[in-house]
Amino acid sequence: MKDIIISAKRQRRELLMLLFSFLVAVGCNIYAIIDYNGHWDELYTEIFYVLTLTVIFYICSLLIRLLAKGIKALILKKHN
Amino acid sequence: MESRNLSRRDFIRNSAAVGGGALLLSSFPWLKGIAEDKINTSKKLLKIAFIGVGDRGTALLDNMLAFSEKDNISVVAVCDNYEPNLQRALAKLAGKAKGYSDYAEMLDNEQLDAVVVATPLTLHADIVVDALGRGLHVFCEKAWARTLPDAKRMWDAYQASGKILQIGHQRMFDPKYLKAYQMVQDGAIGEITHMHAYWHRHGDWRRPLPEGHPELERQINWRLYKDLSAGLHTELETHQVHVANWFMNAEPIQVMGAGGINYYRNTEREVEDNISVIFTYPNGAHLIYDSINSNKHYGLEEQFMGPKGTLEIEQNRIFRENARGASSIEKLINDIENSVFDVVPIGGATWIPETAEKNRGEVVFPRWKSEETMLQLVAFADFIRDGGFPVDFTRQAYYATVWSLLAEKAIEENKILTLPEEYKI
Repeated sequence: MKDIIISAKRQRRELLMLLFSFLVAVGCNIYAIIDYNGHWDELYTEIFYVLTLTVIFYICSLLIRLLAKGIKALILKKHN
Repeated sequence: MESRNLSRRDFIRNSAAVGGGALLLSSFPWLKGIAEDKINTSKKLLKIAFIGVGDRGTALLDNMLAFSEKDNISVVAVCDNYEPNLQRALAKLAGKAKGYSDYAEMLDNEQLDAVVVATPLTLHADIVVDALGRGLHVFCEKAWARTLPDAKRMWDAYQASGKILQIGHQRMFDPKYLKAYQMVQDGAIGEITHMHAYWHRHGDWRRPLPEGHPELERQINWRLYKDLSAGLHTELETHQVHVANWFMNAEPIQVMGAGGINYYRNTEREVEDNISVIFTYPNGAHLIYDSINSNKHYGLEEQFMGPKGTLEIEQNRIFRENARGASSIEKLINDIENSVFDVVPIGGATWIPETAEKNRGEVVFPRWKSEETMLQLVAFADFIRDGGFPVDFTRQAYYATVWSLLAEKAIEENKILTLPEEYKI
């Protein structure tokens, strides 16, 4: 089995993506609190939902980026 | 069967966990004896006899034997006029107790401190009056008595005796009921404005007779005959009327009802297989009560409702009236999900029913375990040794039976009944 090396640059990029997903999830929570006249303590009482959404958004972003990379590779291969 | 020591430790632990330990004990000082985490075999030996060791009597005996050795209690005699029951009990006691088929002979011969009475209902009055008259403390299974005159006779004997008469309403010793009672007193649901209790079972109470002994029908299946039992009223209703009276700190002022046999027709059964009763209390609240023998889906429950919330004690839950519903993020996810997956509406609803709220409520007593049968016997022994028996227990038990018997009468006569003067205590 080959060793997989994840570069520091790559790690930084993924962490940033995770952080971005978290901020989007927090944003959804804030939007919901405003739109449904909720309590502001839901910012922390509903943290489980926020974390779950973070993971979902991150996985979606991963899939989209993988898909994009795959399509890009196909196009490049075709031109070559 | 767990030891008394474990029950006490559990009780203390559970009480402390809900932060109500000290408060519970201060509200119900007689609980202190149960909660003390020490077994003291230097306590005065208690000699106890059991009169009636059928199914319920056996359950009580088993519960007592679970703690009797550590608590210096000796079951010295058992009595039952049905030989198989007697032999079964003697086998449990492994030669440590004498057997009798005549309770009077037993009371003549044995030096006792107390008796536990778990006979068929019609026998309660004579035995309890006799035992109290002989200076014994008495634990008697519910219901109190079969007839109103017998109930009053027992009360008068109890008053004259100066002894303990504890009736087997074990919910008085159940931590979740005690906690629920305290919550009501603290205003958790506001004033009780409505009560609903029910007990639904599926079965006709009929027990098989030994081969070739039809003459035992009324002895074994006494619950089915009107002269021996009030059926659902005394077997089940008394428990829940007792709880209602306890929580209301009051007795009903009138009762009405309907009932009959609509399922076990054409059987040798005289008592109702369904009853629906309404008790009215002094503050205008009603207890709506129903009990049936033909369906067990809903089981049993006592529901107490007030402007601030609802208690469902058998479920061990309280539901606040203004409980927080779904969070905003839940609603957002739900709406997005509905907009993606819902069918296209053709027309809008003209009326949306006010169905029950999907509110899971809060637990009343965390880590509750069903040990109240044992705890009531533990308390009985402690009351005998240490005193402190709450007189109100016996009064409440009396009225629970009296009002259940009046409910039976109200159904039979198709009338609204109040408490006759001669049965007021």
